[in-house]
Amino acid sequence: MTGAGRAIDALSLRCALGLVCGLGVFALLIVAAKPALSAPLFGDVSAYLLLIVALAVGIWALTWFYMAALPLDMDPPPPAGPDAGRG
Amino acid sequence: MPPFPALGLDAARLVPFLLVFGLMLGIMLWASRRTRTVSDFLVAGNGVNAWQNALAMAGDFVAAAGLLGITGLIALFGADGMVFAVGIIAGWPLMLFLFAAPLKRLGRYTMGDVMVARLRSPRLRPLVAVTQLVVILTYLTAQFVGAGAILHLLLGLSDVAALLVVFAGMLAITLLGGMLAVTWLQIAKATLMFILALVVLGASLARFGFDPGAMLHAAVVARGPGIMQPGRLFADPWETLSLLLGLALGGASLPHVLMRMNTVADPRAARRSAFLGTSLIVLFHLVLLCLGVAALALLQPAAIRAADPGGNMALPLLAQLVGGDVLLGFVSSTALATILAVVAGLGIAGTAALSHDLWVSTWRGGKATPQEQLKVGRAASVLLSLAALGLGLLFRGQNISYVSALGLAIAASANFPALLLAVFWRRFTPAGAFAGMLTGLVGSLGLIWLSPLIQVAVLHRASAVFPLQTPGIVAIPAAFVAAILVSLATGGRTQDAALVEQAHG
Repeated sequence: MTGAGRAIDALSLRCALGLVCGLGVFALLIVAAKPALSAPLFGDVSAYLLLIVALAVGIWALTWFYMAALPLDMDPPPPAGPDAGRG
Repeated sequence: MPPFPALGLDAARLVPFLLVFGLMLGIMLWASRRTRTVSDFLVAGNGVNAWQNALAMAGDFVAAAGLLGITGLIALFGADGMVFAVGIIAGWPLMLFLFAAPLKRLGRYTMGDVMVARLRSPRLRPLVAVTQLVVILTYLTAQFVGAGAILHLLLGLSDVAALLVVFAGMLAITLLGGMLAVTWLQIAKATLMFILALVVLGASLARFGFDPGAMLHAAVVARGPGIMQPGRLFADPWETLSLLLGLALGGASLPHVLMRMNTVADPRAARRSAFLGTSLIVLFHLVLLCLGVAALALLQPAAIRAADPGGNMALPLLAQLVGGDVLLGFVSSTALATILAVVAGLGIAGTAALSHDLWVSTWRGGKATPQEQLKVGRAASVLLSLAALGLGLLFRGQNISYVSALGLAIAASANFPALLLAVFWRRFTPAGAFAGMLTGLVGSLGLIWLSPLIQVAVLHRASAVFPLQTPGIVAIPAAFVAAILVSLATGGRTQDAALVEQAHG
């Protein structure tokens, strides 16, 4: 494996692990921090609603970060044809 | 609250239905003239660009469970309904991070191809095919049930007649055009869905002077402040985590979505389309949240449940309220087209599992002409459609979001651990793959059987052995443990280091 390949793998696994851990924290917060999440922050907008929106936007931002962090010359040429290398 | 008109066939609903389905039929006929090879039938001939693939992927995911199910859950239970959306949104990035480029580099059509090529064990293929089929059939059942409910609302058809229409639609799309037709159907209906969702949202906001704060305030006044707080649907962290893991990891390894990685020309396009797909999906789910709030403000729970006990008709009812029968007709027809396109995509993936993995590779030892493969593929489409029709009849009336979540949980348990280890771990052995997939499949199915969803809701017993609705929190780790322990026990490096190098560059 090339150095670029190792770097991509490390980045990919870190992002995936971060995302899964984020979901776990969210699941715990729903129950453990229910009183805090129930409090209204801006008018009728509760902290819970803001957290959900922030999580959705955060997932998108993580995706953007991943794409931005990938090396430009990371991809080898595509396979010879659609049936190339099929087992 | 204004009364809803009695169900019945009328021009205001029929004309939009005919227009939307006329468009879909045109796309199918166009695609059928362009489908000549196995590659065209299974992966759209590798000729779809990143934007087109992103729209098709977004359409794959925001189907009945999202468009109807999540809006319905928010309309009935408030902000907790968006937890489903969070899990679904997370599936896309996980696929991007872990599988998009490696699978494209390997150039494989199906998970069976990946596992057999990586582990050099043809004996894995039948198990992979069976696993894919279980996932696909579960997911198909949810789509059939949702389509049946829409046809009942839109055209007044009975449950059985509605399911027969869905069966015919699925058969037509898979037989006529294959993945090329499905891809373009997904693109067309994803575009229609976005436009109509914004139209319904705009019409709803108009009732509040285009002030989102006023609409939210009306929702809180109508349903109480608890509607924006956690706890109405999810009160147990283990239940929530089990659902989220199933949705996210299952979404990252769904067979029909993995195949879409092969419809673009190269790995860079695969990554780009997955990123664009994520963007579209996040945006669309935020629109669904707003539509759910509109439904909270403008619809009564009793009316939503009267149209469908699972709440799946909240969005069509909202459309009818703010835009009359014409908007109801367009939204319902587009939702139905959405479901049919997803059903067809699942049918293609199931066809690949049946024809390519089971018939050609296992039964015929890989020796089948392209013409035979195409014929067997189309026969497999018929068989799969019949099985889906039977299950749809059995499960009609169930909540489609939860049925979809079960399908995703099975994929998360049986597919994800094996696929992840096959792509990233050199010491993964055929025995380890077999153990992991079997543990995930049998474990998830067994736990679903023992869960309250079956034991209490269907079999009417007093309690269930397994306390959670979804099996992910137990079945996924169990599959990983089985795969890793058996791999370590059955040998060191496998023989295909070159293939791992090819997958990672």
